[in-house]
Amino acid sequence: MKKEWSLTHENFDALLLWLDPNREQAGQKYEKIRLRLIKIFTCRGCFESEDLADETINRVAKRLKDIADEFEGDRSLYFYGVASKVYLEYVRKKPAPSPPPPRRDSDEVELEYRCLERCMERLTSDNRQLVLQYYQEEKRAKIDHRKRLAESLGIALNALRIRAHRIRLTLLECVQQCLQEQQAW
Amino acid sequence: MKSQEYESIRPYLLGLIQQNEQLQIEERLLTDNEFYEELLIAEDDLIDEYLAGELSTLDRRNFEEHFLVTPERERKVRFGRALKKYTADKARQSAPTPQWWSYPAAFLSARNAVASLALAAAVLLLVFGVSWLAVKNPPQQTPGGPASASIVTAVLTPGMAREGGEITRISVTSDKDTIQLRLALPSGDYEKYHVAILTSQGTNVWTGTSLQSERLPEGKFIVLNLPANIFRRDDYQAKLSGQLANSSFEDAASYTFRVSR
Repeated sequence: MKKEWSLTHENFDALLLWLDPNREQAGQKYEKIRLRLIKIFTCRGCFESEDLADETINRVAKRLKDIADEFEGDRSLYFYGVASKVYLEYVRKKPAPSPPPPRRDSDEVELEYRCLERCMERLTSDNRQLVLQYYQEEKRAKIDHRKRLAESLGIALNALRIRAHRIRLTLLECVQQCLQEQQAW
Repeated sequence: MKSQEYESIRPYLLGLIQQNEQLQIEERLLTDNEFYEELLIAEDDLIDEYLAGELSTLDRRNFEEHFLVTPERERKVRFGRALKKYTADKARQSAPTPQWWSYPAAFLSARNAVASLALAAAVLLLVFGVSWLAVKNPPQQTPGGPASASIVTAVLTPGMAREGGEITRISVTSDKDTIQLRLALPSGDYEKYHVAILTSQGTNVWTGTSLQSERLPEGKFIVLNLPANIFRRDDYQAKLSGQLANSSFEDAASYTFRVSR
């Protein structure tokens, strides 16, 4: 996506200040908004979701002088309003279809599997067992199995879902890092 | 069992939602941390359903055309596939495998010795009879009858027939090998199935009809035992059709694999 205006250091500082007077808090809010915008553009089917999120942020920063004193409410919703306009422009331009993912051979598949094995070993024993138990079974058997697992752990089913998801996220990040290290060799 | 939020998030992820609902969901994504995490969990659940072949034909198409649009989501699907295989492998390793000699020993230790001996005699008679029949009628190369030096097994999952997707590789060392293809079945149960295996040029190399699914620890599959000598070094596509009540067939799934020698 073509960017017509770039975010300068001064504009970025002003944007952070607008989000929160505490710079660390502001940085966290900025990252959160950016990730959520990327997710929204992705969910709308946009291949260039990161570029669209950055364009949205650029436009908000550009308009800051006009809105900083007047805007009230959750700042992230202002970003959402701008994002909606960015999306409409994107759709009107009829972007090219997203390129097909690169073909992977069995060596890459095997490498990812080995990375997963290593990352599983790095989990605590409890977390490893939870993952192995949680992802067993399919369809109806999976539902009953997870209910029993939650009961055996003494937690609610939704708490189990969240716990399994967070472990899965840890594994995903570990595997990605492992793959980058292996491919760097 | 998914959360109640999943029921509203799932159609959003598949691009099957009205604009006003989309607005509500997206505003919540920006402002509600718990809801955002629910969406991330819903993505994982949807990926797992896709990999297990549990999505309907329509949902699978929307998943491939709307959900799988970014490299990040492609990575998540690849990871989900690796995780699925890993947990299945671990489950297989930890499942106790009953040894063949334990069956008669367990039976013969039963209290009714006379019944035990009678049944043992019947088993011996059956073994003798089958052996005599096998000598008289040598087995043909059929989907249910492996008769070769070694068996090379490959599990194929549907939904990766897209151009550019990863491909399962099968290595053949001898024409005497048997290639066992395990086609993971998508959702939708048919009584019988039809499979056609085509080369990359579209030439049919094998057809199977009136095939029935088998339940294995990992799920339901169509299991094909095929002689290696029908395969050359090439990419192949296995097309699965399910038989409807009126005896016609409808497309159920497609699988790709590569044979190397």
